[in-house]
Amino acid sequence: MIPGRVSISGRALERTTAAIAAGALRVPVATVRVALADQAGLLGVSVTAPVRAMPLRSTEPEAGILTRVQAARRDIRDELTEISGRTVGRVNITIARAEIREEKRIR
Amino acid sequence: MTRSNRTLNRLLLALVGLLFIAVAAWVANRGYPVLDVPAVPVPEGDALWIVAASALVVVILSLVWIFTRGRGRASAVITATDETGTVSIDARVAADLISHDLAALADVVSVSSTAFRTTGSATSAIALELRVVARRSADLRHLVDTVTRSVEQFDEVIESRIPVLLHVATGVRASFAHEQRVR
Amino acid sequence: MTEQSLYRRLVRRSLHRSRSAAVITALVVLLLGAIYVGIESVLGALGNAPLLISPADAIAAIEKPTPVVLVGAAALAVLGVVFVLLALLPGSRGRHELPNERLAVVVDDGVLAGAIGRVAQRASGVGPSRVSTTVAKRRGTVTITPTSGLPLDKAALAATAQEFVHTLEPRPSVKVGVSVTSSGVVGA
Repeated sequence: MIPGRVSISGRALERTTAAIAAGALRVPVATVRVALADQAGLLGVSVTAPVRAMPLRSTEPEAGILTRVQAARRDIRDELTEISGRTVGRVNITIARAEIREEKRIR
Repeated sequence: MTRSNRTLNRLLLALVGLLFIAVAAWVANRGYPVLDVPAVPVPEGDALWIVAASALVVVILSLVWIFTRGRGRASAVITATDETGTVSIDARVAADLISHDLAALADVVSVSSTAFRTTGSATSAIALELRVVARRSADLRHLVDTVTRSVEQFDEVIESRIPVLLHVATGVRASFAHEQRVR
Repeated sequence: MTEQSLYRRLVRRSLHRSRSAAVITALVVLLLGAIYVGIESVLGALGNAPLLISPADAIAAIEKPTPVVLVGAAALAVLGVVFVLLALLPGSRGRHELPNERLAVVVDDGVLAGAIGRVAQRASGVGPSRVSTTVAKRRGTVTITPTSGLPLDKAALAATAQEFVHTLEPRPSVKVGVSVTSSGVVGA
């Protein structure tokens, strides 16, 4: 354990969180918006982002959006806690759009 | 879509209309007496304050009514909250997914969606309105069937069955802000 | 609220106007009138000069109405009648409901007409530009301009169109009639 204090500016933290969220949701980081706020001492996170989704008619089965986003939320919380050293409070995610990825054909 | 109570609207409308007709009839009666109605006394002092107070009541009630019209619009189609936070999925996700499916149909011009709260008795559920603008030459049966299938698949994707209203429109209205043009 | 009754309401609200705009307009007119009356009453009670007419003069004008006042009253009456009519009339939006297992489906009459017309057009063999269809609440009419020398079987076309409507099951139900114009167009 290295003694010392990690000092991260609010803005940098927001961008870091956006990167984490983009990774967890597998969407471009430019499409992710993050707002951080104090939540009775804890770090409250609000993420607005699209979700990557297969077309409705795709033959590949895909886990439901809610399940995937909730899993992503766990990942975001864990990674953010680890990277920032902060105690994270509520993480709210609003999925605003669906980024539709076509099925990949294996050639 | 507004949450207005349609019967109440019509009742109020009829009342105001009848009031206007009654006042007009009164004045006409004064000019061409048909019914024997006593003359209106000229209000003095206190009576005038009463009139002013009544007018104020009318103004306040009207304003209250006008400004309590809830829009009933919601943005999220489905929301799940627990101790770790809230996950909400916007109505536009539905439009994106269904729009993509309909892109193959030449008949569809655009797809838009709005989520709104349905005024229920005890529970208020979220319903989704899908507005599909179609050409006049559209194969209606095929369009409706395709949307039905897409919605059923959407049900599986969000793991929930939401009440959906499909409105197949002719597209004479101006497009909405978030209308997705399919072509 | 059961899902069935919820769907009923969704459809009903889509088929008829809610009259929200009309009520708000009516209340605004009422409001403006009440504000004016209130102002004049307060000014009169305070003994100040009136804004336009004092309460005493206003009553006098009503008691012995001049033509101007009568015209004003007539205008008010017209407005009142309009509001009452709006309250009573159904305010149909020109749409029909189509039955569906999963969704509530509402279709603009224009799209419905287009679909019926397309069926009749294909059955008749003439080009799409020679068919025009309208749909009202319970009746649909397909007007076809035939090709000169190629007569059309009106009854058969009507039956075909009606059968198509039958598969859609619009509510309220639509009875289709086909009208073939007496003068045709030479060429395909």
